[in-house]
Amino acid sequence: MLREFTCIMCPQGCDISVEFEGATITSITGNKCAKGEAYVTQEIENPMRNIATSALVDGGDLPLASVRLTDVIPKDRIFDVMAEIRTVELSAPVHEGDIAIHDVLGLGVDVIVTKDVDAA
Amino acid sequence: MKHVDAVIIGGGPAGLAAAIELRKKGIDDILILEREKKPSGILRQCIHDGFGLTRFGETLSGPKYAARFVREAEALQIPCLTDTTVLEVTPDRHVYASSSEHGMMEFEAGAIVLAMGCRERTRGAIRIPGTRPAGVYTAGVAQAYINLKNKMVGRKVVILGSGDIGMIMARRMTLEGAEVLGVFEVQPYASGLPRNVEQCLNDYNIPLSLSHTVTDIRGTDRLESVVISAFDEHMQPIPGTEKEYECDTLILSVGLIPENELTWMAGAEKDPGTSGAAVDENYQTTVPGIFAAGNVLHVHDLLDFVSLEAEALADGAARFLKEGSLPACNLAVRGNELVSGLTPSRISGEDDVTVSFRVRRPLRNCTIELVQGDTVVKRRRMPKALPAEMIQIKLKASDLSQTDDLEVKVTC
Amino acid sequence: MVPVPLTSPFSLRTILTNGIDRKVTAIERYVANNCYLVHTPAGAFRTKWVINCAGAFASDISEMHGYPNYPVRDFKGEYFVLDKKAGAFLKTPVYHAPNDRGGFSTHATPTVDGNVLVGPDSYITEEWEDYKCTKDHLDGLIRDGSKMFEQMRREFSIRNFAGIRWKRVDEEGNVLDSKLESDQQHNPNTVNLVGIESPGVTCALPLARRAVARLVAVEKPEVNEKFDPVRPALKRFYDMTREEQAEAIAADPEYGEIVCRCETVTRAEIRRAIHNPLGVHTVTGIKNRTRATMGRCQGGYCETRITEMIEQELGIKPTEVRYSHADSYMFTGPVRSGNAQDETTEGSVNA
Repeated sequence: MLREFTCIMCPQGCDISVEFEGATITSITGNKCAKGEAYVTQEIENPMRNIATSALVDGGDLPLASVRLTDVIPKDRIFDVMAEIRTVELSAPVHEGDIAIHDVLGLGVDVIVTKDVDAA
Repeated sequence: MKHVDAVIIGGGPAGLAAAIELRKKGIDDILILEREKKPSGILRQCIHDGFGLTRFGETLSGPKYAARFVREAEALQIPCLTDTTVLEVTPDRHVYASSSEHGMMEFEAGAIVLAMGCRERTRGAIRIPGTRPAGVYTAGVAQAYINLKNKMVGRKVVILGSGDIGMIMARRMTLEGAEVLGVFEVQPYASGLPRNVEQCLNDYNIPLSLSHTVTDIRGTDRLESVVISAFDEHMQPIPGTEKEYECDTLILSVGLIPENELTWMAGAEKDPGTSGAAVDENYQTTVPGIFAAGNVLHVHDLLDFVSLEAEALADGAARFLKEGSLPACNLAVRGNELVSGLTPSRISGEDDVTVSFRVRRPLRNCTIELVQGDTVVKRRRMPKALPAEMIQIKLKASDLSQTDDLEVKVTC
Repeated sequence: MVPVPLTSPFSLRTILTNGIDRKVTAIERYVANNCYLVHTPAGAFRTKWVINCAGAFASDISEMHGYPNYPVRDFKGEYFVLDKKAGAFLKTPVYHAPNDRGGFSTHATPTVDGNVLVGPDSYITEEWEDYKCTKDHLDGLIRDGSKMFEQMRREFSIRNFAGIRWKRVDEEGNVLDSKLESDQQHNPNTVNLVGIESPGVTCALPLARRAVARLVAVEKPEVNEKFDPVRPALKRFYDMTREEQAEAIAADPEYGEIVCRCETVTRAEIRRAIHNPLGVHTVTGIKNRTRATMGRCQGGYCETRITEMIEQELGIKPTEVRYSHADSYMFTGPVRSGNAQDETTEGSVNA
């Protein structure tokens, strides 16, 4: 199988072509550096992603605080983590950096707040 | 009426950066006028990552990027009136603004920084036929409802326009359980950044259909379906390609328009290439003492550039306040047919200047030359150039002559 | 009384529109009590007089209270609304010379608010309540409108809409005059208006006087000397001088908060519009009363605020907010809700 990527590791945005069978890569062309090769390899073998979403805040001047993960997680766990984030209820005041969920689903990353929300 | 040295209209990223830099350049008397409850501008609702890589060396969410500037402005004790809307700006730099708390206010400004950002292009502006049901939202409005107001706008979504905001919302709504049927783009290429095509669409198997657009909207009370047609290279619908998609939500991401009503009120001239004010290398408009930067000047795709631009503006505005005027910029800046959105429109040739523009269509292996007379002042080769990515080229005063206009030539 | 200026067709529509669904299904005459029972899904209403001004449905109502079911046909017209910047170029309505059937084609009209309306065109639609705009007709408006108004530029397009005039027709489809009648002998205490069409809004007051004159001739009521027909105009913040604006804010601080930036509509005006005496609570109802969302950003800035104000002022949930029609819900539910229940069922809309 052939897949075309636009590398996102730096503004160059090299067009990289990857030939692969299942999770085994047979060839990579088009990258100008090792970071590109590492990026597409990761994308084929074990794509990882961060998530930006919202968590409910009680008693704040806004109903939601934006949250993200402290590190990337496997792409196929995104919706599992979203389900966990849906159960969170924070109490205002909430600060940038507060941990909403520690070690979510044992994946070794935290869900942290990325926006201050003051008490109403 | 109150005199203020520097009145900044808009407390978003451009306004905040300009305010902080003005203070660092020794201007004490500054006032930011912001219409929302808190400063940060549109960044309040841009909860996704990707901001700040150039400036801070790390990738931050919109609120987090803005917070750094808000905190610095607070630490410097720069006054900011929130819930305040500017109603009028006059050519002699009077600013009328109102708020519930302070009533009607009039300021006489030594200098004015216009940092109002932009608005979204609407359905009416692109004349989509059909009924007028609930369920048609521009992407930024949907984003505000979902990220700020805790209101979900729909369940089965069609997105028109492959602008960054549309793609971001495709991902956002998918994460919240909506079914996004596809992103449709009338041009033959995506108008947003490639990384968003990858991380917002491909990641979630949301199809991107180029050369397609919405040709009918159906549903009386709430949206029931849209009709999508294929378009040819002359941007005309191809008969027989109509396909109806059942959906309850249509998200429009069809362009941003700099919000310049106050700018025109003040008598500044428009730059036909950018939809924003015509500015010189100091970001001064054609009205002395009135400056513009950020999305109100031209729509940016990299937030970090907005901050840099606003800081460059502040240097010019500070100089204007101290010296009473700025040297004339008598050299025109022009681009060839492959160049769009070129700023500034005038330079002096005596100072460093950053030239910004976009290419009109995707190009491979192109050459950019900045030329004065017979001299190539700067040349850059780009293996790939996209309209979605603003190009900025810095020129040093020592590179420039003071006698010839500057031509920006893109060849391919 | 509803404080709206009477020079705008949009505000007149506001006065006439009641958001409550009371579709008349039958009219029964009770001779003994000299009254009628008007049946609706919301219940039956007892009344002495019935005046039929039902527009699209006037033929049906006509038959219900004893008159013929006069055939009507839908003559639809589409419109362009242009930015006030276009209005700066047009100070007087521009009409094409009449065609050989005596009709006017597309014209350009400056509005009292400074916009320009290009249209309507005129064509028959067989669908009953067909208010959609179509590509062919919009293209036609651009083609014909541009001939008489140079500033019909793409960048000035704000919105499109369509309206319908129901014209009385004969068997061959020729247009007949409208009907205003009152048959006291066969259908006592009724007035029947069918086929009231262009220029219906302009003629509304004189038509009303004629209809009421029929009632007065029968009932001979006493004039109500205490009725004061003069109502002081309510000035829009937009139309006030800076001094008047400062005074308005001093009297009511919510005049200081601008909600609709494009049309300069304040929180005080939106609040008043939400609490209108007809009980219309839709975004469109607020739009027609205040002009909020009619500007170039089409609600891009103010719609989020207006929906929030509707919820707060009326104490309703986001899922209960309506855009214009009865089922025009705007929100399906919260993004995050505060309990273990599935938020797609808690307070959500069943589409």
